[in-house]
Amino acid sequence: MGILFRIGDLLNEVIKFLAGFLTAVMAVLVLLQVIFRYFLKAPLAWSEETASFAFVWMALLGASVGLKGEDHPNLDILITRFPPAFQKAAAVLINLCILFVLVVMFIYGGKLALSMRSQLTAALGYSVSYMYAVLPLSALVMVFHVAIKTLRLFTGQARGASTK
Amino acid sequence: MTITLFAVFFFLLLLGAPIVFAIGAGTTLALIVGGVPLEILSQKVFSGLAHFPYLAVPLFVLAGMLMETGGISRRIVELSNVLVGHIRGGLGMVVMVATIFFSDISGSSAADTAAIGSVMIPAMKRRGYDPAFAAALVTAAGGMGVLIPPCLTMIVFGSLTNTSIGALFLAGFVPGIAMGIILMCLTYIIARKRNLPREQRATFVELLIAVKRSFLSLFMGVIILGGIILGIFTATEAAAVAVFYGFFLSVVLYREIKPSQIPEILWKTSVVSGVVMLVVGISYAFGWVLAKEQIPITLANFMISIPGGKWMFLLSVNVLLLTMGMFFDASLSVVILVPILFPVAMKLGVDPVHFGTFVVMNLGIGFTTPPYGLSLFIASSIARVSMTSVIRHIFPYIVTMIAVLMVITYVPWFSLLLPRLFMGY
Repeated sequence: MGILFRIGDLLNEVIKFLAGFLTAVMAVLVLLQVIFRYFLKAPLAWSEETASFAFVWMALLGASVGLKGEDHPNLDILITRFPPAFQKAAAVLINLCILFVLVVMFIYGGKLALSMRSQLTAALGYSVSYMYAVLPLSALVMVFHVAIKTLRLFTGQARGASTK
Repeated sequence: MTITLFAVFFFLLLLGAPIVFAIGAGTTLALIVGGVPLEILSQKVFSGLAHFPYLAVPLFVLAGMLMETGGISRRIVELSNVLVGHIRGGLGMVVMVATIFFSDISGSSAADTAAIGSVMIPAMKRRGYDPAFAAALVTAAGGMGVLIPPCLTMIVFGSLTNTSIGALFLAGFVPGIAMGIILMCLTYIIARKRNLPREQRATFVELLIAVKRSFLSLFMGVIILGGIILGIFTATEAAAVAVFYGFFLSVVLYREIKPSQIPEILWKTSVVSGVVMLVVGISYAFGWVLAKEQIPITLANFMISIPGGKWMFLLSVNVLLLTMGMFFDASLSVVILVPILFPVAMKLGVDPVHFGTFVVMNLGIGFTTPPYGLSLFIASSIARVSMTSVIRHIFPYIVTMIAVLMVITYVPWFSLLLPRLFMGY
């Protein structure tokens, strides 16, 4: 079990790095776009689609880090008034529902990405499948994190600390 | 489909599920019940996200984080202290003025609240302010900050309705400042009643030093708004320029951010914006189910049929948005409600930019209201007081903000002044 937790943490570190890198790429590209269009009068054709690519990837990868760190907001005014055993049962049920949504996103997001294979981007001409691929990928990462969280509920280990 | 959607959604919401997955599960089950291919979910989430204007969201978040970590918020607080600290309840005044300055360069109310709150709440505690009152001040300021451009909610509104984000930014400026002044008046009245201390009046030299130290930080706001007004760049590009200006100041010039801190700032940006953008994406799928069930049309017809026309419509939108704001995040309310309300507003002859301003203002008040108010949540956790204890102190501020909201709702002049002046709107 301990090894699973460590794999989850390691995966999260890799994704943090990747998401952070893409954030930087996106910022640089949009800045270049301004510089080339306004100051050099030679607009870049590929900056917008590449920046959008980086954006979609960093957002969904970041959302997975947020899920591990419990950063997605929820309403807890009602549930905290219930006894701990009930709260735990609710947490298990919630995690199962989250897993259900994520599995749907993984399977059908994957199908969607594959079906887009022949569609190419306007400026650079690579397959848009690469852009869509982040959907099943981030869903899979999130499935992994939620599964570990659910296991932790039963083994009674503390939850991951918030990144905020 | 509709019943499944809302039953699952509210059930999970009350159990304390992350809101984004409560919507996600409701939407997915509704799709299954309705026999709709499940590809729709992923497709809507994806096509919802892949709008170029949304890039402004992470970029403004990043700019805000650089400024928060890079000592820019501290410089802004120093300047505000020199400007208004000597008035009774001085630190309360400083909270309002500093939030106006900080909002002018940061796009997210959560960042405004965190940046100003983490400096001001400890300072107010040291000066003997009730911690719950200190948290209430910072919360109210965060609600006001939504109006002052740049603003993430305006970006989402503009992308959804094809309204110029630049015009929306300009439109929020006058109502935002007006709100700030009125909240300062309220703070003054409360400060007299509670006999809160004033700070020492600054000398002219101290004023000059504070202006000099904060000038470059404040100039960022001029670059953002100026660039948009002059048509040099779009809101998204303004956000990228803000990032690099903030980077230059905090890393190169002030050297308050060490290069080793940058990776953390970058991935935290992706988390904060990922959380927002997943809500936006899932809300697109949610909205698609609602549209398929013709809920927006039914609701729109109902709202048009309410007697009283435009004015009654605007009032009912206020009630609806304030209620939504009590429970949900602003971006979620915008993605779900705006596609329904906007066409009705257009039909009734409401100006799109004015409509955007007052939608954003409503949801800004939602940042401060219990049970789910983002600013309220952040400020009370910085002050280490319970949200319940802050509610009593925030109440007069909420009432005042709603009063200002009514004026902004019914007098479009306030919101349209700057867009007309500068953009020939």
